[in-house]
Amino acid sequence: MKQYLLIGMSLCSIFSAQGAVLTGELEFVKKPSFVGVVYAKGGKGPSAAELDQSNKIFDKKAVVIGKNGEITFKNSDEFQHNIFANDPNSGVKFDVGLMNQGQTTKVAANWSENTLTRIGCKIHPKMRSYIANVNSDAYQVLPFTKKQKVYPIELDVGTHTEFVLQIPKYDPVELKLAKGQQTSVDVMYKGKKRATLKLALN
Amino acid sequence: MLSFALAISANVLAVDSPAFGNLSTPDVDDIEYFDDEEPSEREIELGKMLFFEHRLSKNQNQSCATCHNPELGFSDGLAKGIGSGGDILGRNAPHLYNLAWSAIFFWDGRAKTLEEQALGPIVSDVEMQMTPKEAVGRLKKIPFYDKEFKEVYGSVTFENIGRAIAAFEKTIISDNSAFDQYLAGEKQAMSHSAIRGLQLFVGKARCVKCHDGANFTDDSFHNIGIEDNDEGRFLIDPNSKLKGAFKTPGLRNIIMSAPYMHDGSLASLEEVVEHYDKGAVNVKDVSPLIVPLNLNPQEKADLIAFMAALTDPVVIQRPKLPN
Repeated sequence: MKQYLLIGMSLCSIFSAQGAVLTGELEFVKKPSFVGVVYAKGGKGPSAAELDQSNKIFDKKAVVIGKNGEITFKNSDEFQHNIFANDPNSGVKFDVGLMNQGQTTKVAANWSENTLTRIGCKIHPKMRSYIANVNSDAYQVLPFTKKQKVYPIELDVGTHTEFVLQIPKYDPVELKLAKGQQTSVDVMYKGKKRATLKLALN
Repeated sequence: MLSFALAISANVLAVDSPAFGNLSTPDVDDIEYFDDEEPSEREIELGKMLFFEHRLSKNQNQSCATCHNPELGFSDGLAKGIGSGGDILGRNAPHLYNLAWSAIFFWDGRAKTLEEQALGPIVSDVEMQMTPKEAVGRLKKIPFYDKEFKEVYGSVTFENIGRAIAAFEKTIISDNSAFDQYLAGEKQAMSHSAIRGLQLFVGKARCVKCHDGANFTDDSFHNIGIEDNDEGRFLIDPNSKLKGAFKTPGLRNIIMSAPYMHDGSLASLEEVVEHYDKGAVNVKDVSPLIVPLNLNPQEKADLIAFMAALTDPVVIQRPKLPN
């Protein structure tokens, strides 16, 4: 009986050490931004991601890809599109050229890690999405909408203890948490508080 | 009997019918402001005065409102405008309605923000013919502007002139037309002809292929078959292959801003509909979206009735300018 108890305690301990969950919320002061990505530092990140276009919008507000991963762009729209990036913040530039309906093209994400790159369509300037290039296996994309100010965060982070929140144009938030710890930080844009990030690691 | 049939036809279109595609009433929550900050009333008022400020042109004879006259649908009624020095301008003056939702500016999309666009005509060689230094210098000499810029932005700069004008222009909002009321459930708000026009607009007439969204524009560039040797978007982005393509204008209050097209070559909406009906066959570089429509006279009239149902004038009281 004593032996079983010890094994049980030991399993709990291993489980607890490897299975930490990051929870919390991001609350905007005013109107939310477009999209955010929260992730744990460490890992490789996805080796492949897909982004489609239809009805003159991208099907995701952000895709996550690891270093040297490959993004597949699809065009399911009845209109031609031309995806490009020319983002001075991440330094990423590419142009996939004109894509007709049904066409697919691939781009290697061989640029700096931990960057958020805006992409658009040369033909439809209102279209936008972001490529989050992160070396992380634990991430959550937060697609914001104008009517919702609070966004829950729940992420299985394993043994990781360093976390990043990236929102386009905002100052990135980087923080460390020990298990059982919680914190609250201001999310800033051009010196002004735009949101509060509350996180707990359990 | 005919009126009964038309009444049935008017009622079969559900208000939230997916057949309308992305057509909708614009939502002020979707406006993206400079630095994500909604402008103050004071900033907007300053921008309004600058919009009407003729001292921002070389010969002090023109303001933004000369070519974008509120009483002429924020256009000028001319095929092509006239510059401060008397030159005929290259393109038609587009209206300014609902630019707050726009993502790219000028007929050829050479400005990425309204703030940038607002400064373009001031320093254009043929329009207001100023330099940034001259514009700032003139405003600094006017005590009211000097004080207001300091209060609102910290100082008079050329960039801040653009910010103020754009802040005002983003208040030129038209969102309560008969169409908007119809969308909101007032089925009597649009005439039967306009309702049939709406069906044609999203269907047979293919207008919505480009004139979609809350402001009836995809903010994209298309060669619609106007032959005038102006290469449009291609001059700004040769890689785009968009030769002779121009930005799709929004259609809100469009009936107020004749003449039409980037060169002002079509005098009326009737001529515009005729142009699209013919389909610009065999015109070089024309978009594949432009094809003959085979509309009958009633259908053409219905389309015009629908475009007229997009009317919700924005009345602007001209400000008293400071000495």
